[in-house]
Amino acid sequence: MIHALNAFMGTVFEPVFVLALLAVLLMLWYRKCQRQISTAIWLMAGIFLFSLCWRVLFAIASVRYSVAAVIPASILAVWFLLECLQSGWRGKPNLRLRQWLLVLGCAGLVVGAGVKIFKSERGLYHEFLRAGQDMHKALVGAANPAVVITSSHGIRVAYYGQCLRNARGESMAYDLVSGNPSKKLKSVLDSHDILIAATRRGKEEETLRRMLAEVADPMPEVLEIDKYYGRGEPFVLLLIDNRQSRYFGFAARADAPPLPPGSVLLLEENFATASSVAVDQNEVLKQYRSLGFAFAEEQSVTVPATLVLCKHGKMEEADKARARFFVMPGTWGTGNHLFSSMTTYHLVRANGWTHQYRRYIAEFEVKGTPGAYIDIGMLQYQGKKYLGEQQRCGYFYALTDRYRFSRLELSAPVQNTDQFAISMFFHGDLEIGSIKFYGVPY
Amino acid sequence: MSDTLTVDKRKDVWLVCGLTTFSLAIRMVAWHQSPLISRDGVNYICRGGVVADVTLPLAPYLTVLCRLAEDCGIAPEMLIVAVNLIAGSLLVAMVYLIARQCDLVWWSSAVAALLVSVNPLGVDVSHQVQREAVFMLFCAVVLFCFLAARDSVRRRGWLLLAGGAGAIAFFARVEAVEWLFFLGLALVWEAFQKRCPVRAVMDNGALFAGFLGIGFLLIWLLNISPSELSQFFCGKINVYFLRGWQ
Repeated sequence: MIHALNAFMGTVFEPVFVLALLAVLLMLWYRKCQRQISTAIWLMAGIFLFSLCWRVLFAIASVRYSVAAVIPASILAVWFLLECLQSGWRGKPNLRLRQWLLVLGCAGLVVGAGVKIFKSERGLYHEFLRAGQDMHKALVGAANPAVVITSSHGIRVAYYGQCLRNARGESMAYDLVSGNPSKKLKSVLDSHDILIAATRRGKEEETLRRMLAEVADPMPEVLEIDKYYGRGEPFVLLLIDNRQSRYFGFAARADAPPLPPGSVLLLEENFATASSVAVDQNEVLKQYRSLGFAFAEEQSVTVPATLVLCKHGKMEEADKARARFFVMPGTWGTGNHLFSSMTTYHLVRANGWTHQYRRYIAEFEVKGTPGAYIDIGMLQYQGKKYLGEQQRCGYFYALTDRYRFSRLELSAPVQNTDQFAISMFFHGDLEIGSIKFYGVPY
Repeated sequence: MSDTLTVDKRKDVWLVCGLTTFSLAIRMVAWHQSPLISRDGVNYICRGGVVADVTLPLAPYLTVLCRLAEDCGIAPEMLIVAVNLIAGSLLVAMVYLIARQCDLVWWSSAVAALLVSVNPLGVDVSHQVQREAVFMLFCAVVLFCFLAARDSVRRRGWLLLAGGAGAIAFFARVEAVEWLFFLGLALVWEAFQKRCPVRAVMDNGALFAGFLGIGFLLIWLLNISPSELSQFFCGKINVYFLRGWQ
């Protein structure tokens, strides 16, 4: 019944309604003839019925227009009818009644439209913006994220948060409204690590949680990021952390020792256990140069206070010579002048190894002030020539002060690239628990 | 007699200006109050494909606007909203002119136009990223041109305008076909009532169809790819009957 009423209400203000008004105006041209006026009324009724059926058929009607606007519109419809009858049949209508209907209808419609326009949606825009920013912060730090759409709220929040596409430009929003929502949710859970939904409080949120309980195994952690209000419809941002079901032993490590600021990490290959070995700074610079990199602004190179290269737990002299990755904080290289206030790390690959892998995986454990994040991208080189940034891969966000695991995939460099670098820009206060960077063979 | 006509025309000009300004003011205030993007608007601006498993139809009119905005370095949302604000306001003036063309008295025409100007949905679609404002404006232009062409010596000119406007309306919303169909029926009925010669009706129909075709051709030249057109035509069937995205 409610749907039928909504369909009718929607119909009254359907654009076809305006066309129907135009049709009536057109047909009033015939008003000297009773038969044509009758035709005009039937035509109008036909358009209304068509519109009504269209809406009911596709069930796209919704409560969008206040009753306050529908009632005066109905009054005006009666007025129009009287106008048609009077014009066509040359009868003697009750002029006083007709005038009152006109005045009441116009006044009511103006008031109704005013209520609709100036009150009902106030605040929703700013809530969407706020929720979008929060969604962005939550997702850009996530590994392999997806946005699940449970209503039009969700897609708009994702739009304002620029979270509709991933770093590769592919859509990462999944619609749970149509089709088989449970099946879709299962499919999304199977293929993504972090899901986020802007869902309305009440039935919509309950349905999503119930579907999660039904299809997820094990049940992922559901974090409620914040609540939002607008148009009397509070909605909430839910972060569904699906990583535990997909990743081995990368639970948050609260006891992981933070690295000192300015230190450099990493380097391990093929899931080797990470450990740290101090290396002479000058030795590292020497190795950089030996790889053929020329520093355009060599004087501005910042040598790290500590450099740690990790490979199979111990850095032997022989390993140093064959080291495949370097990690180095500094201000050299393209792009640094844009981010000069940030700490930058570059992971650099040596020659001859670039195309052995189908793609590369960067895995991080980070914690820090909420809002702080790492911006990561891949730079490519041909010999000493910088070819440009192949991809801005995405961001790792620190959501809480706990270590959280994030994972990002980078496609292999293009064929004419024989070297590439992974640039990481640290924004805000962050601590790294661990970083892994490895290649996935063909 | 001539003085009365001049006074009427002057009154019409003032009313058209006043109604357009009033409508524009309402729409701009509404936009300022709630500059929300609609669900469909997200799809239009992102050129479809925003939802991973659903392809939604894109109107060539909006595709062209988005491209134009990108070329000019303007945010697509801003350009589309600006165009819609103007189109939604002009629609009100057009309704007034149509009513006057139908020999209604000025106050009755003004009421009809005011109705359109405060229609909540009309206001909404005029300040959101939607197609309806432009669609309705050009449907109204088609109707106005037909009415004006009836007794005018510049019949070809009016039919040319009607053809161009019909093409734009069609490329904004495919539902313009329904409107042109209804309009065609009404005109055939009028010709039947007036016992017009069949040849005259055919001539007028052919003229309009020709100008509509020229309009299509001009819009085609706006670099709309065949795949975009195919998506436009097949999109509605795909959405409503196969996918059912709501």
